[in-house]
Amino acid sequence: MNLDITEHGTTSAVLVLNGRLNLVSSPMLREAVADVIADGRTLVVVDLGAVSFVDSSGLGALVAGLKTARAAGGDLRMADAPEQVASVLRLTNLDRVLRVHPTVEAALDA
Amino acid sequence: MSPTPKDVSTFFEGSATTGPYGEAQRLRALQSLDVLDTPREERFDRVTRLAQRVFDVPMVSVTLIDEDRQWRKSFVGLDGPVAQREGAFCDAAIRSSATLVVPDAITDEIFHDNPFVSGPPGVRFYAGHPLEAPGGERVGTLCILDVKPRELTPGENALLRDLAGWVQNELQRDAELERAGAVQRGLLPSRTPDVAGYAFAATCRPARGVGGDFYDWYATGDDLHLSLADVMGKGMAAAIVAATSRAVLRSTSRTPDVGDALTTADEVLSLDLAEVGTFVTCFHARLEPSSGRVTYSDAGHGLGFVLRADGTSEHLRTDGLPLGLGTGDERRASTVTLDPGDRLLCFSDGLVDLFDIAEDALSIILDAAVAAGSAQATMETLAALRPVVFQPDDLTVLVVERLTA
Repeated sequence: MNLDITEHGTTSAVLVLNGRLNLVSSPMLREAVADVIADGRTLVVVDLGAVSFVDSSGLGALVAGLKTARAAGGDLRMADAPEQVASVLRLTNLDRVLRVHPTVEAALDA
Repeated sequence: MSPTPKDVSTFFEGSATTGPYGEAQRLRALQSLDVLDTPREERFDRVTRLAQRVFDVPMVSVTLIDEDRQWRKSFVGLDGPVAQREGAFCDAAIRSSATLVVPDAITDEIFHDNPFVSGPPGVRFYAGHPLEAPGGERVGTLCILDVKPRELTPGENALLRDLAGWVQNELQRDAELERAGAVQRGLLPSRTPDVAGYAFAATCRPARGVGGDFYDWYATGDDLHLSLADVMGKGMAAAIVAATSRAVLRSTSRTPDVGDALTTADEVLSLDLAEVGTFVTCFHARLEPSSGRVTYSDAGHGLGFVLRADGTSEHLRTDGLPLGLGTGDERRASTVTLDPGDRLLCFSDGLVDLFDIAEDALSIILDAAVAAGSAQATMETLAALRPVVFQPDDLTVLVVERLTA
């Protein structure tokens, strides 16, 4: 999995993931979220558009990221989830806490 | 200590003494390591590569001595994983706990006419340190070989011993996992419930010896509790959390409402799991056999179904989040009734991960399950959907069938 970080203004960051978000790659996401929040960017948007697969460890990293962001007074939002990711979120009822927005812009403005 | 002088006269005698145990036990120990004929692995290859560099030798091998052959788990400079056992230097090396060093085989009393010396690969120098199974049985060696004579300094000998210890740890790590797996299997129900009018079948297969899946069933009065849970992640870390989760779920057995039971379990698990950063999905149900009434609550598992006798299926959902997230959710229960010929089915996402789109996967799995018929056949059909060799995730299936009268 590849992960690119782009900064938006002074308080937001967009993490663009590419590939499989699983047991192997999820620590990378956890660290990236922790890093941008430590940097003061407490609104984190995770762009899932190019994620081909997510497993329970990937969901764990997203939930952990949400907790970290909320603890810092911010939020973690997701954008552009492909069908596999969306259906896993529905099956686990995690769509109740991990909100998916149609685009990165919508997530930033929500 | 001086490496060479040891009693070499018994090296190739038929009644080999290969450690404190007989040859049969040595072979059993080797078998139980489950390493023979497995693919190459980087965790061993990095040791052989390193040994080749530091000793500057053309040939290095992690050799296991099977009944009638040498089998190399990792090697450099040799032409393949298999060689004859007869006359093997490594077979000689496992007769003692010390390093066997042969500085120049051509002038060596024992090895000068050895087939590996007179024929390919033309060994002149050999040094091999034995590798032990967890019980101390010497099952193979880490060895270095050269086509030129050379000496092994005491410092080099110590280094070879250290590298052999590293290889031995890697070999035994799997055995450790196997023992942990046996303990974990012991935590699964040992028998299917004996409830008139019902048939039960279940399987739980971890991807790596141990795993984060489990199922449970136990009687509470006239009713039967059923649970299937899946801890995030895989392997040993998930297994430790699975054992905790099973105990916590069992402790709720006196709570009549399965929703309340999950609310309580969630509170307890959240205290522990918040630190670990993991969560558990769970389908928890209570069956009243006389009526077929099933009350259930789903904690983010999403993979519980009723398969009706007429071939239709119903997805058993409640809106609960996975356990251990610390959200303090009040969990609700729902009810469904199993009529004669109906089946209750629950499985873990190891099955869904087989296919890339979860909802496509569900329809493939449900079609196969509906066609299977009995509880036992349903379980076996679903377990067989998973490729036998490639095991991406833990897999668990639980089926309850209400028999037709």
